[in-house]
Amino acid sequence: MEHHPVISNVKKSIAWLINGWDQFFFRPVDSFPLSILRILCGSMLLYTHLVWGSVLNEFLGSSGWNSPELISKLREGGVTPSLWWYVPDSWMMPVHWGCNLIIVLFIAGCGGRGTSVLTWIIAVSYAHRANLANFGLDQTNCVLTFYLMIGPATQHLSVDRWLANRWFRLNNSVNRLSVSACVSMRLIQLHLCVIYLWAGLGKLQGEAWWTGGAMWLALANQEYQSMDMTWLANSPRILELLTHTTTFWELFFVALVWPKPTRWIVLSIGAMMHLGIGAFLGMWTFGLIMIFSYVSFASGEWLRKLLKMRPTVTDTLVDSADTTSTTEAAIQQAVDPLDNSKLHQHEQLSIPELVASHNTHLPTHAKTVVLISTSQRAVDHFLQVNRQASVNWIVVSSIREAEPLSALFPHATFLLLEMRKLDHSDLEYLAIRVVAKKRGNQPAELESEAPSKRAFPK
Amino acid sequence: MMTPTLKRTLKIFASVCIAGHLFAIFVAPASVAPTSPLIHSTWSKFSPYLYATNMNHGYHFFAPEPGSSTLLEFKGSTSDGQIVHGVLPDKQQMRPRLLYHRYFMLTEYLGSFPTEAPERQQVINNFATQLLQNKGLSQVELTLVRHRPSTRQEILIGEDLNSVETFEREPLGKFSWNTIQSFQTSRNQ
Repeated sequence: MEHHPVISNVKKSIAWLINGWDQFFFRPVDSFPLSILRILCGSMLLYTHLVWGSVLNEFLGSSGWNSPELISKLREGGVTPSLWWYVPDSWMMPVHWGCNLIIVLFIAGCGGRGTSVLTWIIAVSYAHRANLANFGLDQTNCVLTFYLMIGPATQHLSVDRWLANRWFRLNNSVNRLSVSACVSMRLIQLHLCVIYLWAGLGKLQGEAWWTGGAMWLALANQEYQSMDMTWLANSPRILELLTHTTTFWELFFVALVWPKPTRWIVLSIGAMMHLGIGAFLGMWTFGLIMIFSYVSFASGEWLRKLLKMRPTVTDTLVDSADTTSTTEAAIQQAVDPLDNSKLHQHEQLSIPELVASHNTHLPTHAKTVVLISTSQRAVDHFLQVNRQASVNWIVVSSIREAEPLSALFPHATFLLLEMRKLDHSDLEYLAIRVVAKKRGNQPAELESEAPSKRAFPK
Repeated sequence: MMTPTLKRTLKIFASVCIAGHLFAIFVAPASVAPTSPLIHSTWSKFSPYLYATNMNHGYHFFAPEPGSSTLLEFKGSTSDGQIVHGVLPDKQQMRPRLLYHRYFMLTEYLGSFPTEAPERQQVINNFATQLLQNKGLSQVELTLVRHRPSTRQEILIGEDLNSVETFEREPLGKFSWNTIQSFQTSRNQ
């Protein structure tokens, strides 16, 4: 049955919106940025709480600055849960150090989501209890720990990862693409947009932000100032420029942070602004936590490059006759952060022939050989001819598959792909990335590129 | 193993939660005065969630514009007649900077109340109690100090950020354990 053009256009638009939403929030992504964020945010939280520890009774005690009666009166009926409402004064120090211990475990990535949830509860508990002494730092700490509960923040650079590697004898890395990591990072990004948008809109009410004098008022505030900036009184144009830049930057962050060409400009201006807040207005903690939150805009790929991780070049053999193997190969290519993997796939050759051919034409740069195949026959043959080969990255689709191989290749790294969790659209997206990488294009330019049906079965 | 139907149901549920959450965190700063009754009533629907998650924030940093700072001067005497005086926050005494900022936020909070606000006296009494207790005083006299930023012109004619004209003082009264107790009794009645 044919629909009226208006109806079919509306349907198309709705489908486009749903697909866009799906791709934006539920695309499996590398969780590496979340792990970096966990360490940075956790360290700031630990510092915040160590400072609380020096004045615990004064700020959180029953007869301190934030007396329970006063806080309950001022919260106007709002529910502000805090574990500190239930801690008697005599137990404050042990509870405080217990909280710090949990934050340390969170930084170390020990205890998975359990410590992430507890860390958020701790952050919120202190903020609610010492409500009168809160500022932007506490708000951002609570926001980031909230979102770090959602994604797998302990998947990398963590004790959890180290233990998993030891217990499952999986050397170095088990890389998983995660949907919850995507949700988590998207929410941090959007929350930053909300923060800056309202910071900008709020400023539009003030005359000094229009006349260019606001920056002077901030820098000439003796109580904030940590460096004498009164010499700027002679340079009103600089002050006006700083004022207008701040307002425009805050207002347009929400729009300019998404396109790649403007993203780094916007984030660099933001980082400079927050460093300025730290250096000139003394709020280093607030400035740094805001800069830390920018990690949510970085890709795992870029961060690994920055930290000089994953430097090896790999050679990949693919069993072309096996659709699962070609799919895995495509995914490996897609998730290979530094594009170090060189794919060897031959339509005509069987796996034994492929292995033999690869052995005779092993590129001199290759330090690593990766075998992608779910067929035992191929694995067996590979093992026969490659006993001495330096295999350190093998793609598997379950831990069970990895175990016998890990005994044979103690120095190998296993890339675990949870195939069953990926649906056709995920594979399609990954396929687009592979094609884009091969052609040196941006994935966005290849949205309409159809994935190979042979390699990506539904 | 997750079935496609379960996966779809989970996605729909997650989408509803995400949309609701985003709406809530957007409405929270919109409800900062001046605001419309529509925004205010919308905010009130989400406020339990926003309060509970500590996301009920305005993010109006240095807005509408950077203004005066609020300080709290205190002068008191101990039971043996020793005079103690000081100011909150004190940049020289309070280290690290984060600790100084905590005290600064306390006094800024006090300064945010209009003079006639009923909660203001309660905050003042609480602060007086804390000073009596912390410093071991028998009585304390409090003065709220508003310190405005000097103008560019003032700096250009040779004045500094601490010139006398930039301070405005408001005496808050003398407090002892007796006055605080009687205030609390009158509130309870």
